[in-house]
Amino acid sequence: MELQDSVWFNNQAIKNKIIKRSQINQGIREFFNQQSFLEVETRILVPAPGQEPNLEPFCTKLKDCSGKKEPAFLISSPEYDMKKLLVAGLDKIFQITKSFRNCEESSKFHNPEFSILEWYRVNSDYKNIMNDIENLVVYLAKKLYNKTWIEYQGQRIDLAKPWLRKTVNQLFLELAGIDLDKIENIVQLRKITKNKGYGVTDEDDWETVFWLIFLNEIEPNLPKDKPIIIYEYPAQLAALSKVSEINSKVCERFEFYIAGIELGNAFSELTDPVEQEQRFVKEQKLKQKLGKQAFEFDKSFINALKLGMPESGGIAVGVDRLAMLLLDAGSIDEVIWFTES
Amino acid sequence: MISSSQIKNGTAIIFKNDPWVVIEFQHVNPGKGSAFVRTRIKNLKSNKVVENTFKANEKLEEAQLNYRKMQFLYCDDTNCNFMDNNTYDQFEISRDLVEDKIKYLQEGANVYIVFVEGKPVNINLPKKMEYKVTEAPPGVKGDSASSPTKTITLENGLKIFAPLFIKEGEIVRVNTETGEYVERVNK
Repeated sequence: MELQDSVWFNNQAIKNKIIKRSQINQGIREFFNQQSFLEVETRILVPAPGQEPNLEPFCTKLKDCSGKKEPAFLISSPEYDMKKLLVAGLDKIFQITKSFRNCEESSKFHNPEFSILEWYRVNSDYKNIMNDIENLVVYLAKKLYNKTWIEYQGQRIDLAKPWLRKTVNQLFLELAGIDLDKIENIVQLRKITKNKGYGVTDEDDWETVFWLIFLNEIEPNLPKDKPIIIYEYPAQLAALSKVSEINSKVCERFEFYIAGIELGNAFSELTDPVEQEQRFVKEQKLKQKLGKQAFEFDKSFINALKLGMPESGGIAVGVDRLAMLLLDAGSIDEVIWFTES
Repeated sequence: MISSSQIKNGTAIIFKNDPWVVIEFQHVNPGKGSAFVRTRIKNLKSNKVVENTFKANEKLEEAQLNYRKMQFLYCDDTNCNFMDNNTYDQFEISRDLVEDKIKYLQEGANVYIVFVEGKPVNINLPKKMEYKVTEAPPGVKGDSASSPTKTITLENGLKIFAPLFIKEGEIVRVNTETGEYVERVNK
């Protein structure tokens, strides 16, 4: 929304939207408080940014009175600090906070500053988080509309449990005719993709080829009338998740989509400090290869893992996108009152 | 060859052996991973519109383009109509291919039409075009500190921001890539 002309002045429709959006935040807090989660606050301004190779952080300088400067960054997610709280002994925590991503694509679903909801529970894995997310979305729909379905942009969506749950491999088999389990190496994957007519080169890594197929053949064909949880991503896409103990080709990560919109990303959290550090170093190298500036990673996060982080499940959910869906807004600037652009 | 990252609306490419023109494009970064360009492209033979996502920096074959100077006549709901001033032949371009350029057109304007395999697919607007100002409200005093511009209306209905000194009846030059005021033309 933009503060334009006189439209803004004492406008009932705008007031209603702000009230509804506030009810969503209230509902999220109620849901977690009822289950004895602790609401926490962590830093937005940090000395070391998230390491995701293709996310560009907002960088600034922290100065002291003598003029000494240290690099500082706005978070792309509160993940590292929240996990440190798990190490401190808290067992169920949640937070709604602002996160920031620079150079984001301009689309109906993106804004450089956005609200993120994260929660973590110890002695759990991503399957527990799947149950949480189903319960949360149903709770919010019931709170707002007293029913378990919504209409989004003319499409009726049944939010009732259980949601569809499919592995990445199932979807690749069904929609792209590719059996990822049988693929031994990147050369083989490149060949299959090339034969489908894609412009794949020998330079393309696993992630690139994977997303090329995903964006062209999977994402556009996801069901629109009910939510879907997509889980067990290839281990190459583990990010901060644990590689499965049963099948080392996949990791315990899921994303969930409603109306074809990606709303959140969850992990059985990686707790091994050695592997975590290796992944950071690898991501920094990849960043340099992509011609981007690599920044220091959060050493205190690695130290926290060394102290011992309990096995945990956790998730990040885009609150603005969730609000879009629940308020039938076609664009993110209908649920954020003042946008950057 | 052209890189997928340079794609714009109107870019014509050869893809799966057919000529296509780009109608929409968007840069995407799925899963915080690699970068891609999501497009909607129209097949110039079948007129079918499909979505296709390319890798960022993917090398694409460009379609051979020809340019012919034409006069703009009018647009209706589905097409825009042009005439070749030498042969008096008339051509139609489907509106969806040039939606973002229509607002700059005015009857009688000479523009270059882009042809791919004999089909008109795009309009090449001059980088700057001149228009007569039909509406220019007087600038509000005291406004100048915060917003030294005002909205003016041009002869073809286009509305732009312009400096406060612009008056009705004057000619202004507009950048057709950004839609911004460039300068006043003294005639």
